[in-house]
Amino acid sequence: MQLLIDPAPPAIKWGKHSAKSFSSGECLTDADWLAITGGNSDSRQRTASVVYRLRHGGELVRLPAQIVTPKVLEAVGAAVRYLPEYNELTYAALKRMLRIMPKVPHILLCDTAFFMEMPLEASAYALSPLLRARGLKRYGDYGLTHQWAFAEAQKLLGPPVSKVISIHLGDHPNMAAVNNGRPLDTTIGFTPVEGLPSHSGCGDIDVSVVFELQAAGFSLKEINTLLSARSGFRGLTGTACSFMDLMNADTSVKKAMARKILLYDIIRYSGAFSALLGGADAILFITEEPSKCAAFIQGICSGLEFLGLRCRFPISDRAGGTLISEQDSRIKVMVLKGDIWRIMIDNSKNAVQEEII
Amino acid sequence: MEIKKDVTVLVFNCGSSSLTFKVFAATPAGDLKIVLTGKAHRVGVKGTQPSFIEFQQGSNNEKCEAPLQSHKAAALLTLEALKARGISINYIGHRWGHAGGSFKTAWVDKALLSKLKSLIPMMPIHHPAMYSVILQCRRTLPEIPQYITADGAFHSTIPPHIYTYPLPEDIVKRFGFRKFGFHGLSYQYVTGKAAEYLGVPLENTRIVACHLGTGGSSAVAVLNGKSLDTSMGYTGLGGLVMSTRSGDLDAMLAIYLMGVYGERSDDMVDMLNKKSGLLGVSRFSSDMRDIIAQLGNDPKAKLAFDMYVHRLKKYIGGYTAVLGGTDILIFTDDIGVHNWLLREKVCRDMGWCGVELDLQANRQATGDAISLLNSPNSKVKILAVPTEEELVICREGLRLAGEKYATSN
Repeated sequence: MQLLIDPAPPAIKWGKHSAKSFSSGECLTDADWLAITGGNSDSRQRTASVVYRLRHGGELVRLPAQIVTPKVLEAVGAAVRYLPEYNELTYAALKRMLRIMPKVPHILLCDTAFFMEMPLEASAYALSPLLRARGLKRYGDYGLTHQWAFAEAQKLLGPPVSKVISIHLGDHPNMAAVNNGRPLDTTIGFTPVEGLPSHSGCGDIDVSVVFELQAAGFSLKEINTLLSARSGFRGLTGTACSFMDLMNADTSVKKAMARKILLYDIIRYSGAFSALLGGADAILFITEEPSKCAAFIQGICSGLEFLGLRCRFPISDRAGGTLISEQDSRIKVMVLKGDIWRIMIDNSKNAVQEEII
Repeated sequence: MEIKKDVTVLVFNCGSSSLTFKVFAATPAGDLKIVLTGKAHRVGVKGTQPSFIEFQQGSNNEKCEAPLQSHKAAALLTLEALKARGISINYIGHRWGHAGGSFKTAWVDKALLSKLKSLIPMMPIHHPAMYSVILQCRRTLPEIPQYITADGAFHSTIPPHIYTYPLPEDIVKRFGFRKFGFHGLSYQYVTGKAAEYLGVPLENTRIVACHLGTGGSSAVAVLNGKSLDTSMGYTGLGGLVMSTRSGDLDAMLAIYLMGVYGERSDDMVDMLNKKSGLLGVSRFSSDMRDIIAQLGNDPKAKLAFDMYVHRLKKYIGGYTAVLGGTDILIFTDDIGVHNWLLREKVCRDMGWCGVELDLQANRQATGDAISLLNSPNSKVKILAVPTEEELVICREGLRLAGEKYATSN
């Protein structure tokens, strides 16, 4: 049995996975913890490994999947500051489980590590040396998802594909350009607010907005909340709005507008990433509910028709991936049904034992 | 309107440390001739080298050194020089930066002046200079009608799903945050010129144009003659890597720097506008020519160049996609028309969207005249087009004056 830990503030999400079964839940209190760790030694003995997801490793956690050593633990502790809300949860869970289950392997997965190899011209901002020296660079996010999708595509597509545009559809939509398994660029920058608009984050805007809000008397904390928690789909629709809410066809003018903005930005970034790749071999969509996104994905594909895309719809929800491009399509298009548990389980198989640099 | 005799128009175009001026004569036959052109250099710049004004009238060139503490002073000297040369002026046109989306070309009167004054904070580097030049002209030549043409007006066709920032509605309503865009006069000119040169109808053509200046730079997607999207937004800070401006950033980065490091917002604005971009990354120069000269020796120069190319490629690719493919790719302004190496790097491996540069034609293009740079097989026509913002401003003024005469008759 594998125990999976995913930080989802304010709670920790857990999953238990074995050859026969899967269960999951949330854990907030000590009693919850006791329940998932089984409380008795029999259950602990049945745990083969514990897998953790760290959302932001900064410069300190540089491997996408590794066995936790004392040095790794120390690095996670030091990386908490990069994304405290999430990282504190992972760090606390890691310390607790190491104490409870000292004998089993603990595997740390890290979302930003995949993007450590991004070329400097993509990871750097065009800033003065003073600012760049303070760690202000583009770290990306959801590396586990993009790395997994690239590997899945190799398994499912027959002849290997090297130049891939990977589009992750969810509450925090984001994209990566991946060449031979290495990242060339991504939509997310220093924080997940940069790039595509998300369920509550504004995405790409003119930074001058921050200064004007400040001049008007807004505190930094208020501006932070405004851009990261009150904007995106929520800001556009005026109400809490998940990605799947947006996918539901309805007549709301504001939702239609939010959908249109996101669709446009995805098409724009697809062109941008095509330019970096020198043309893409494949476009991958990763979503938990492919059938619900079918109309949206169709919209993106028809926007990219000039690249020689020919796709068929609708899309089924069956497990694994669905090739939706036709035989004569110049670019292969695939929809991968990927939830975080599947992604964590598969990525944990790549864990290496290595000391942190 | 029917022009009975030559009508002369003086156009002022303020840069951050320069003032360009041109005098055009519109003939009764409808032609436009250039009477005189000139530029004041190193305006308001403290340094060891002197500031000067150059004039070119026919084959006669003249260069006068003069202390130019401000744009206002440069404008006054220009007006006096024109008077001394016996050039009389019927209209004075000015390039204005940011009109907040409210007008394109308008006569300068008291109401407009107070509107312009309220727009000064929108472009803190350029607007005060532009405003002072307008006031100086009113003082020196109070009887001559003046008008302004707003640079961003070309982008008024950008549709709502592209100009809208995904911010809360109440904030957008209160502050008016949205994408505006700049370099509109330049784009209006070069897209029209490119279509004319290629003999294609502008109203049925997809164009990606890159205005790469020694100060600001931007890119635009133009669908059937109308701006669809552009890389600059609410202000001129975002988009491409520029000489001293950062271009695109994570908005949270500003909050982080002020929150964690206690940076003051005016210092941040100064740093992002004046100490970033090519200068920030290379640490030694904001001038693309200096950067290129050091490519082989200095890794920081190489990084600055690579970032410039990387960002520009992304915008060209992105705009090609939103246009559903492009017919024409245009490079303009100083860096755009004069820098073959940059164009070569940017167009490399762009066959996926039909862009194929003729390497030799690209190297040989002088930048002084419109040049075709694509290989014969390229699906996309690639052009270097020298821009002529002042000509657009002049034409706008004649149109405005024509309308005025038409209504008063």
